[in-house]
Amino acid sequence: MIFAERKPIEEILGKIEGCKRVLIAGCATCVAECAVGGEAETETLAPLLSMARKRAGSALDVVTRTVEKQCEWEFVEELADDVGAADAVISLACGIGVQAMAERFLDTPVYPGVNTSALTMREETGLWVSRCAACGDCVLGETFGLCPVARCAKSLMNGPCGGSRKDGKCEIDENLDCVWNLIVERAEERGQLEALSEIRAAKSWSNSRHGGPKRVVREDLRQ
Amino acid sequence: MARRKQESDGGDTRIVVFYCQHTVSDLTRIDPITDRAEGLYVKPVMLTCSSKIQVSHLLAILDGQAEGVEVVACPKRGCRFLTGSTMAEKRIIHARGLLEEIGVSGERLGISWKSGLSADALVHLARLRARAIQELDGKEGNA
Amino acid sequence: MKSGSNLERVLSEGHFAVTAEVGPPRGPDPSAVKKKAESVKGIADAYNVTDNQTAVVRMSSIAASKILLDEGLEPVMQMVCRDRNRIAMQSDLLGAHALGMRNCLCLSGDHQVAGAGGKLNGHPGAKNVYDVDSIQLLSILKGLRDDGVQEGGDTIEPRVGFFIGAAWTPMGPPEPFRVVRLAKKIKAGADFIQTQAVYDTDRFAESMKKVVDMGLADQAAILPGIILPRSAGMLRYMNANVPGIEVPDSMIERMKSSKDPKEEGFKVAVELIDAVRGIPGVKGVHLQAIEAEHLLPQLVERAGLLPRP
Repeated sequence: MIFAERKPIEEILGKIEGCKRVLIAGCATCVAECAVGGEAETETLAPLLSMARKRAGSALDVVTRTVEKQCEWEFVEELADDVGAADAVISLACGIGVQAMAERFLDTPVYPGVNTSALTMREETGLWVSRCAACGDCVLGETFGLCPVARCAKSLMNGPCGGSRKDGKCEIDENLDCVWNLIVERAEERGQLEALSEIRAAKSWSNSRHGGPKRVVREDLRQ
Repeated sequence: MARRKQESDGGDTRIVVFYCQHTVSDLTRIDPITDRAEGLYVKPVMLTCSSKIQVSHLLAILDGQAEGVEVVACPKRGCRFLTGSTMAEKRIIHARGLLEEIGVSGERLGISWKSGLSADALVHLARLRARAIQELDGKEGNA
Repeated sequence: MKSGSNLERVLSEGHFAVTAEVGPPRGPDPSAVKKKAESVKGIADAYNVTDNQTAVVRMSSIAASKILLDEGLEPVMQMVCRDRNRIAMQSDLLGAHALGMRNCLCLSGDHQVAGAGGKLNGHPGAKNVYDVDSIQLLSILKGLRDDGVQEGGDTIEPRVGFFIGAAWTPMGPPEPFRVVRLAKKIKAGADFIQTQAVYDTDRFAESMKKVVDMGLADQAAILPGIILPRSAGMLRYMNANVPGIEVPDSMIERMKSSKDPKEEGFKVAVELIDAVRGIPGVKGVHLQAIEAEHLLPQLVERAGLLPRP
């Protein structure tokens, strides 16, 4: 799912300096799943902002509300009254949710409370790993179900590079598996190592952000 | 968020003690204690497991209801839910980190691992926590 | 001849080739490059000029290569995939050719997070390009040379003449696949191969046997890398921290117990050169002395590699 990490509290405080009342808006979908923007996290941030402002001698009223998804207008609408009563909103949603809030509530500044950073899978409790890079040209069918775009530091299509460590980890992070090592292993297990001797030609990145901001119309679904 | 009415006189160091029911020898409810001499108010709260504590709740308590929180968990290998007392520690550590970020000392959150405690022993843990916090108040200011 | 380069000529005439590495300065002063050029002139058939190695900004490989060329040395420019997209790469290759470059080593390049092993700041915040990987770059360069065609299909006029190089890490995991990947590089267009530093010549010989058996040693010239050791600590560091470099304990011990490690280092390097020279399929050596290029002339002479043809 979409993965985010919390912003330093100091950064958030800096944005709401002149405010007397803020709304912390949570989202119950992706950011709740990675425990950074759901209801519990809005209720974690609230007393921290409150305490920090008391110590600074400038009390702050904090209201917390969490909706199902901040990327859907119907749920964003539920926050109208609370936004109206606040000087600013701190949205703990991903960048998509923050923008939906900002677009719907033009009169109130909406500040992000998290840094959206990856598309991940929760491999284990407390461990999220980037698995997809939204490259728009999925090659998983040729790499035995392991994504070299997201999981190789250099997004190699003909890996591994010379930076693969002895223990099969990536040069840049001793905890990160060298995904090309895994791809070769899987190919060997299936008896299809031959497939990796083919030279994969340069990838087209044009169906991703590199080709320009995406704007996709599905006529079959339009009203 | 409703603010709990202060039950002690202003100036006391208020400590909430979350204790796992398996850390005490007697399940009789322990009433809140006021120690005028030490400027201490202790509110014991029994839990079915120390892992029931939530980071958001600990922080909410520190924002107006108490000066410190002491968590009493079972010894790490003695938790009936296996990982409960370890999870409790992780949450305390996480909450301490968040407090440090806003300049509040992590000393305000304590955790210890005990078994077979009497009510007095439990209150004593709170007293120790209060003393540690009272030493702070001169340095980092009160929230 | 594909490029007319000196390196290509030396190899095609059947000589044992010598290439050496020269690192550009972390500054714009051409005299720093000229000084290095002076200290290594005549000891190699061509000189590799690194491309922002370890993601630290240095004078560009093309610029430093041009300075070397003007000093009478033949450069091997290097191009990594980390910093440039395919448009910039092809453009730079055309420009490099116009300036007289005829050898190019194509590499993936160290990730910018690596930044000089923590000793310098580097630019860990830089956008990571890797539009193409090293094997795709080899194909692209081969297309510019043999077909006069850019990656996207447009033509260039005239074609470029480059002697194309690639790197090989024989002992990187997964080891058996490394020879398969080498085959891919050669198929993609590599004419010569420079390897990661070799310290275990027996294991390297095993890898070379596979290379020869696959017919690859005839299609591309393999030049094992030799890094001059200066201390046991240096060997230990490389063994532990540089992927693909494996130093036998006996060698570390030898350097450690030597009364004159700097002298011992020369002896070790000469022995390594002699050893790889005897391995079938090896066509030369690629010499490196990290930030100590002035020591290379002594090494080349002691290894009996002078004069150059």
